[in-house]
Amino acid sequence: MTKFSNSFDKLKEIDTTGLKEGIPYTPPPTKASPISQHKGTLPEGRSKTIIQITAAKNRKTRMEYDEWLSKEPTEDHNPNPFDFVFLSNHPALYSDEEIKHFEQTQDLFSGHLEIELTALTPVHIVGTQVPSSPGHSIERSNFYKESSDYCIPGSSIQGMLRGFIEALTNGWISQAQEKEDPDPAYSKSDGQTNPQGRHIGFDSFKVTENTHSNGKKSFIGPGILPVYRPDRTMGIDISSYLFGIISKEKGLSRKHKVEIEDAFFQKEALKDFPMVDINNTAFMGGAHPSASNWWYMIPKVILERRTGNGHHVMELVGEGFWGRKFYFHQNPVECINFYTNSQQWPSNLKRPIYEYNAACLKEKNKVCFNIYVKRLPKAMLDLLCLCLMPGENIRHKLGYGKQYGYGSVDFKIKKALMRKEKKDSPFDLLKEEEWEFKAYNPCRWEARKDLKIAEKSIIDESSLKNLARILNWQPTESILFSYPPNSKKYFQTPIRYPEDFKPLRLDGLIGNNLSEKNAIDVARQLWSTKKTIHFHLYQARAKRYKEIVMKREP
Amino acid sequence: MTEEHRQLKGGTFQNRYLIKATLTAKTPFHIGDGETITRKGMRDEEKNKDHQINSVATDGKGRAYIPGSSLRGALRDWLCLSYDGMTEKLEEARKKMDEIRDDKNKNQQEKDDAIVDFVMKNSSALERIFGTQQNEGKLEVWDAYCTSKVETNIDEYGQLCFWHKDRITYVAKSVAIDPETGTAEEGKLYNFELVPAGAAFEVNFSAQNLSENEPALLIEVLNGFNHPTNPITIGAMTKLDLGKFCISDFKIHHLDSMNIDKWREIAKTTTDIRAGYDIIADSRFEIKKEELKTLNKATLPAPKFVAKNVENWLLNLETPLVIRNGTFAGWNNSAKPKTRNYKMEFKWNATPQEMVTSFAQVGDLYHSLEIKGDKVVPYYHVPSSSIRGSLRAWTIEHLLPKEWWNMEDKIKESDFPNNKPDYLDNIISLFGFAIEGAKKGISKEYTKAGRLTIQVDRFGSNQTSPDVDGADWKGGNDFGPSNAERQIKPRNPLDRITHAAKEGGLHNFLEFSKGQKLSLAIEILKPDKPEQGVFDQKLLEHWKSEINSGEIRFGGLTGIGRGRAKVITRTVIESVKKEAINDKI
Repeated sequence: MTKFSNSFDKLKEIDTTGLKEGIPYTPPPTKASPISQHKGTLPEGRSKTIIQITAAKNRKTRMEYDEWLSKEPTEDHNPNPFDFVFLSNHPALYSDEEIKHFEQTQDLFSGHLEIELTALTPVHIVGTQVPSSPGHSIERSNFYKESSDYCIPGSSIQGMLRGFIEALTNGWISQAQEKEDPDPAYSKSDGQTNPQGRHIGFDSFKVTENTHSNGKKSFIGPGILPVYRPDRTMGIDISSYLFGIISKEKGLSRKHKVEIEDAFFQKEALKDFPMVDINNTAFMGGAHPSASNWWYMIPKVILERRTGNGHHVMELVGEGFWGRKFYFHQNPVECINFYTNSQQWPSNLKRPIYEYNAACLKEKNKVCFNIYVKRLPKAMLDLLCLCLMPGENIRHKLGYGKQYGYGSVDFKIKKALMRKEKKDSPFDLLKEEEWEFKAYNPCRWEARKDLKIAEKSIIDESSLKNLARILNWQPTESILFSYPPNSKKYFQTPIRYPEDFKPLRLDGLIGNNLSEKNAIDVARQLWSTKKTIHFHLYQARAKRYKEIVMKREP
Repeated sequence: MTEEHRQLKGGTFQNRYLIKATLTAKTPFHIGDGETITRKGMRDEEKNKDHQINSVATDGKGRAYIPGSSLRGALRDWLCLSYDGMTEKLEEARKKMDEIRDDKNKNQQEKDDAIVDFVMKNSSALERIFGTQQNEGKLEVWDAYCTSKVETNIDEYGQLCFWHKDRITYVAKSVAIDPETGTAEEGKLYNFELVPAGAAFEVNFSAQNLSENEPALLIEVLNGFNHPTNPITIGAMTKLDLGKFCISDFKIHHLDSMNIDKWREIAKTTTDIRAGYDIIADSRFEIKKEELKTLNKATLPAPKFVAKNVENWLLNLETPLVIRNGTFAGWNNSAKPKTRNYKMEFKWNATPQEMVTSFAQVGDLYHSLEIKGDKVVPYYHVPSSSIRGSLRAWTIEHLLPKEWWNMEDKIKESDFPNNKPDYLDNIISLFGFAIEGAKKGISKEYTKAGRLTIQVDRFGSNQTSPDVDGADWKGGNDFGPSNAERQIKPRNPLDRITHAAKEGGLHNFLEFSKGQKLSLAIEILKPDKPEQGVFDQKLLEHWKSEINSGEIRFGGLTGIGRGRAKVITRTVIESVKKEAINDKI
């Protein structure tokens, strides 16, 4: 029997003894994490070892990784344009009783905030995309319009803010790829028709069974700990409290307390800026998470696999996403120049990189919109304001092209028109409402200790540090972030067996559970063969990462 | 009034009137038959059962009709409410009639004669025309059958509101929103059949022994359907602006001592299938328009003061408004991969098969049907229930303690009247309330009809295609109703881990565009208690203020700023005396 950590407690205990030699096994389904019975067909390869399900026991923190990686040599590549806010073992949830008590002890406010959004870098929200002449996919991308007016949708701003607050408060992951049972969100591909596809199918929240061409089955744990899947029977997270949640359980849905309106602006604020994309394939920078490497996933095990061509390659299997993805700020003009200069970022001839124009809200332009709140407790109002104006160093990213540096924005609360709601006595119909224009005093990160529910700090310190590292806005630093190129020693390079692997005397690791620290060692040893093995090693060895990025603070 | 003038129906023959007219629905209506039906295509797949639909009364052919009793009841109520003296005098005089019955000095015939005499002398016009337990009314109201012929076929997919050609009905939905959760309240989603606006019915009223001013009064009452401020309504949910009609094409036939010989002559010789009094429908008995003027209107009772406040509010949509009806139109927004809004196609009434093969779904806006010629035609509008629901939710949330937001449960469990919150009675008086299964006495005390009626005019725009950036349409599109400005709104949530578009998360829906005007007529019947009137007025003030400050929003998706409006004009209409509109016949 394999014991699972508390984070996996919904999976209970799963008997894995039968997995050793591919004996069919059907784990007991549970409500929160139904077990997938997915049976994809296997490409011309085989899994030498059956993957056992394990939980991410005591997930490592960013601090631990920093410690392990702080002395890595600096190489000549740019850091990857995104990084992860590490997930914890379980989200921070609050019971309905705690929330009720919290509301009773807080002043409740209704009203609206007048917000000014300033584009720090050009902002693009995709409207009409016009196809180009043969050979290219997009000729230009227009800015989104509503009723013939240019606008940044309130839904985009809400999505950005909700994602930030979910990370900051270690809340649920409210949006994640899922498919109806039994299909996993990330399917194992048919090797006959898609040799480049996934060898290991996996899901966001449920355990996935993969059936291989030799008839053997393997299981892989979920990308996200199931406790991070929104479930109102377990309580509520801060984001759901603010932005609402629909629950299938009777009476457990919660209406939003924050309403974000569209931000309209005039055509004069627009200007064309270059965007890049790769032809004949998915959008450049589009996510392609795989359990067969350690780019998105925490290292789990090393397997050996035979490809359709009969080659032996090593498969570095990961299990569980590193965390929530956010993009670094950077100068988009320099970034696009970097990609379009083939000397620096070699392009694949079959899938060449091309440039197109996107209409963007020009940098330094300002757009105003309103955020309304309804009976929002003071601490939550402070949190909302803090998240809109997150101190000196942190700025948000919004819209399309974040990976190239587009969409860096700054929010200023220009005005707050609020009234304090009566809690115990009803609204006095005989009186005019007491609206008050309030000069908003920005809350600072230093005051975060005061933001509490039931004596628990609302803000997750570790997440804040992670966010501060990624979303730090320091234009003078001029760090360039770019994807690893499509060239040798990067993603397209296999680790061959025995040529690349055996000389390193790592055979003993094959098929056995790997510690995260050992995984870094393996990636270090394979660096000269392939650099894009371990996400955090790649980042730590990137130019200016340790010196600047690793030292960023809120 | 002479005895002759006070004739009852069964007295010596004086005259007989037959009034034929056309009653046309101005708004949809629902006269329920107390049953539920199912409709092909309306199914709850999750629960694996058909949706139950509250059905309307139908005739022997299965077509919606207006039962004579419903029509008669509506006329009686209206007459009672609209004229002075239209009271139930005989109810008050019951004791006197009991004395006559108990009079041991009279035999049965003498008692009967004395009762008839008493009724003739003491009854009101209301009682003589509509009858009481003592006397049959002079007015007969026949069942009204639908004369509309509609060729539009049955709809099984929902876009045409599950229109049923043979029943002449479509299906509407109503849901109560829980103020705490913002979602549909459990067990409060209703489906009900509606007969569309434009449906025409042949109505027949016959009356015998009408005396003095009663013919004029009857015609006055029938014209109550056309009354500009206080029309007769029929059926359920009239507070939600259902059940309004107009009456037209009057033909009034008359038989009395002057032409009864003609009637006898025709009755002897006719080969017409009509017989007896039906022969009056012959044109030879029709009263000419000029003769109508001779009807005695001089002694009509005085119209009552219309005891209600009416306000017209003109709202501007400051942000888009989303009121869904749960159905989808088809949209194909690109002819190539990696493009958007390029060579688009739109099919408002796409079949499920076409949805799979050719289109993506676009959530449609609330719409209803009306009959035009031989077709049913959809039109977009804001249902009165949406406006009323938002106002009610705000009122409950702000005037009652939170534990009282679920009024029904709280009333059931509470120990009345000890812990009743302020304003509870005021809210119930204004909005009305229905409660079942409460303690004895509670149901009766707290079940009220309500005094608030909100009428929402249709949008007056004319926009063929929905607004979407690019407007690059292929030919041959079916854009659906064009009476509202609307736009296609995409939403595409991103996976929080990968920042990729969530598979299956991309969805599009229509919204009523901002900048459009919404015209509301708010009617509040005057209450008995003055303090309730003060409450009503103060509440109206606050509603306006709260709408303008964005605290009251309408429709869905308010979390992304939808449904904010501004009251740009508020016209308080003086309560008016009922106008005599007899001359308009």
